[in-house]
Amino acid sequence: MWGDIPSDSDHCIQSIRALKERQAPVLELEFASTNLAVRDALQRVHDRLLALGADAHLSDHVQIVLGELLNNVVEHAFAESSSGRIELELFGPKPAIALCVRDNGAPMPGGKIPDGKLPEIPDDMKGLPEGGFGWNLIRTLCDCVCYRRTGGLNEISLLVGNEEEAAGVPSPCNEGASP
Amino acid sequence: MKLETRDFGEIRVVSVGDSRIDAAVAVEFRDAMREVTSDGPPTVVLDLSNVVFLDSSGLGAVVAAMKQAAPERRLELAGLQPMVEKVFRLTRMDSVFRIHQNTEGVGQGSAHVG
Repeated sequence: MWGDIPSDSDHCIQSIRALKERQAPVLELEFASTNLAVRDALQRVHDRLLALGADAHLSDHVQIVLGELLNNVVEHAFAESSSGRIELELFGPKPAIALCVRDNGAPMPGGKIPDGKLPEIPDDMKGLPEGGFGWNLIRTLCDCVCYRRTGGLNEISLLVGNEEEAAGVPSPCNEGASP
Repeated sequence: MKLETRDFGEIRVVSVGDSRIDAAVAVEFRDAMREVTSDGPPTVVLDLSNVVFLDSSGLGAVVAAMKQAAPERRLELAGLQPMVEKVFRLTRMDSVFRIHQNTEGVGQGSAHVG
């Protein structure tokens, strides 16, 4: 399901699909739904990307995006329970970095990714937001994000630092998905 | 979460020793900040120069630290590393804090930071 993705990102979604079809993952991880396991996973992705010569800025973006995504899985899909399992596949870094994250937690509310509107900044300091930034960071730093629920699993795929040559295979991000 | 404090007249510099303020330590960080902003000088400069990763939980904890220090104390920031600076800028929280490049100059007779 990716009904909330605007049509102008179809190209990007196809790029993810193309990357996953053409390349084997450069890193595969499976870990528990805890904050410390998330921290370890982020470090491994970071180390792997740098070892593969990824651009440092793009690698930073991946750290921010993946951190927010995985925190969200731990906090919401598993409601802070450490019994969940999270799987991660990393592709790239050329021509782009793609990530696929699967978890066996609760589905995304409404079956779609939140809009990610930034919280308002009021004049009064007491009203300053202390959260609600995560999906905005993800949407801002990713070329595209898509979500589907399949076989009792959540699956989120995203692309960071897309380059034109990543595209080319005119198939949708998700099999069985309807735009 | 280890916080090191140094007082220079009207300014207290609080340095974060950890390299990450993430979901694993955000609550601990906020509580440690409450301790070091409950007394002392009216301006507290949080030195983040060791912090290379801050997620939205960490950002929320920094905002909470500013709120809990007020109104007696004003929390300012210094030493934002590129990724941390990016998170503040993208969420527009850079407009909420006074941000200094670094803490050089504090303790050298100057009342100004960065």
